[in-house]
Amino acid sequence: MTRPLVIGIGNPYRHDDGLGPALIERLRLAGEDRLEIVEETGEPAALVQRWSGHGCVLLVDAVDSGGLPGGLHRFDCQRGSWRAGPPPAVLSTHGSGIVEAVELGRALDRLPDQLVFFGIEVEDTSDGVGLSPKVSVALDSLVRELPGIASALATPATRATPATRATPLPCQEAQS
Amino acid sequence: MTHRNGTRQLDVQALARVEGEGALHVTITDGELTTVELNIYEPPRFFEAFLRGRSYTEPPDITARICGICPVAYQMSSCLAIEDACGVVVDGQLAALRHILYCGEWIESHVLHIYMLHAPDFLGYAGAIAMAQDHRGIVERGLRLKKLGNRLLEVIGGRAIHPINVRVGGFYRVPTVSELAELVPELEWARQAALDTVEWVAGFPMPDYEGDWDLLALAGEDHYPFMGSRIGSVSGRAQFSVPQFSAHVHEEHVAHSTALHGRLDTGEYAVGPLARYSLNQALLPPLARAAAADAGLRGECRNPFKSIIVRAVEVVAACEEALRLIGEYSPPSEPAVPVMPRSGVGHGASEAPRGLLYHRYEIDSEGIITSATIVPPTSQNQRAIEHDLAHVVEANLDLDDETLTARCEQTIRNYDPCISCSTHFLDLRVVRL
Repeated sequence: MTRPLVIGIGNPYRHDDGLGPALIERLRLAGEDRLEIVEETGEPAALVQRWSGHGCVLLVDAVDSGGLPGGLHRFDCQRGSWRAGPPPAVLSTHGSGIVEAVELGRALDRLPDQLVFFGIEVEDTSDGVGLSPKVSVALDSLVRELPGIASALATPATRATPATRATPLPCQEAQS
Repeated sequence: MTHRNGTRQLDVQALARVEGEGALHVTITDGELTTVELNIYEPPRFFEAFLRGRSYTEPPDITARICGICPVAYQMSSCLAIEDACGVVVDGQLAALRHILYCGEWIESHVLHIYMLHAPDFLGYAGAIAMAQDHRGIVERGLRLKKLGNRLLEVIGGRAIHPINVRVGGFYRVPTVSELAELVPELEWARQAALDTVEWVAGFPMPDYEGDWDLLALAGEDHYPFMGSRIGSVSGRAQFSVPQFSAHVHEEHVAHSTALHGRLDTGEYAVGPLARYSLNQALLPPLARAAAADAGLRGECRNPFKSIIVRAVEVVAACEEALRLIGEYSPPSEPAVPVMPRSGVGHGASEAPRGLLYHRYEIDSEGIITSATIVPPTSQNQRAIEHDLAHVVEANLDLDDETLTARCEQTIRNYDPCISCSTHFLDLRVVRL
């Protein structure tokens, strides 16, 4: 049985936008071996190919929806519906990301059974490295909770639990 | 869309399915086309200024950051230019590895554009996701091809985006024979998939239009050109060596673009697959040459809409070349040749997926870069794109705004413009007054 796959998405050179790669680094430093962990840029075709064959996939990325910095969003990509954001067909390659990846995966019947998005509200996405304190604290909390969440998602008996806690997001991710 | 006092306005604020952000503004007054402007509004990126004061060893890593789709092109042109300045020629297996790496970039970039960005135009879909719902097997083929291109970059370049294993003089580490041999089965599948791609796109409905400008590309010697020292044009009017590029191609600023426009001293021109093919089709590997003929391509191809066919042919060529070079590969004794700094000027040119990419560096005796010039293909193609758009709009004034707008966007995508590269720049506006 394959381990749950955690995909950290982001740009480490834009401060809080780098929380996905930072998550991967912290999970590795913690010696986490219950999860398969990888970093991606958010490019849709690469994401679809990356999660193909996996039953349980957790996506982690930065979110800027105007919420409080460090706030956590959770969204069931398989079962939820997008509330906002430009339709996938009108985006340039620089504006395409998780929404397009999920919809491409759906069109190709390549969505994992469990595909859950975790997003943390950002405070600073200007040029530079390092996370802002509130985002860093929130990420530490997610690092601690993620193995348990993944285990629960991968266990059929617990899947009936509603997987969506936050409002569906207009997930947009830039590819540099 | 607005109709006001005889003015017709079509307005697309953000061009879709291109690399980066830009716009197009078209104004038609009393049925006459009065303005076509390709607006590149992505901010200037100042890479040439970043490079001044840096070490001569840094351009491959710095300029790779110009583009996530074609970083190898920047790495190769910069390496060639620095090595030229330092009097070093990289050849043999190191040059072969550079060639295989470049094949990987052509495959991933061309396949992304053919399958995800351009094919929906020809088949009447809003985008690749809608197309995938009806053509799942075809889109799956495209994804697998793209993955192979990325894999070549990973094995030789260290990673698929912004490769980290390229250095002036060669590489930090060279792959083993077995590491490359492992790629052969998938490359053999890809070669056939690329042939199938040519057959697929050759069946698309092609608007009847031929551009009347010159086509500029590297002139290959023994092989279809990826990197080279001679530049030629299809008309034969432009024939010069890479160091003479700046004497023949002039860059100028226009108000509606943050990307400089390129102008050839012998007239209007374009770079890219049509230029490469028209100048070098005799040098295509055998399967690619046969596929081009089967697809109806002849000695010259001046219809920009057929660039999608040429790109597919070039994917076949890239697979063939990669297989040939891997079959001949033996690891070089050293991963790089020494490149010692010396005061001088160097020039480098290679064929990025979108066309000719020129770099020029001036370095001092300590190896510090004192000036840098980068001329990307999309900058050079802006005039040709505007020229094509003017023709397409004038020839299709009877179309409704939505259909005409779609045709304009398709016309722009013929060039697979990489806006981020050009600004070192799309949004479409058509105004009918």
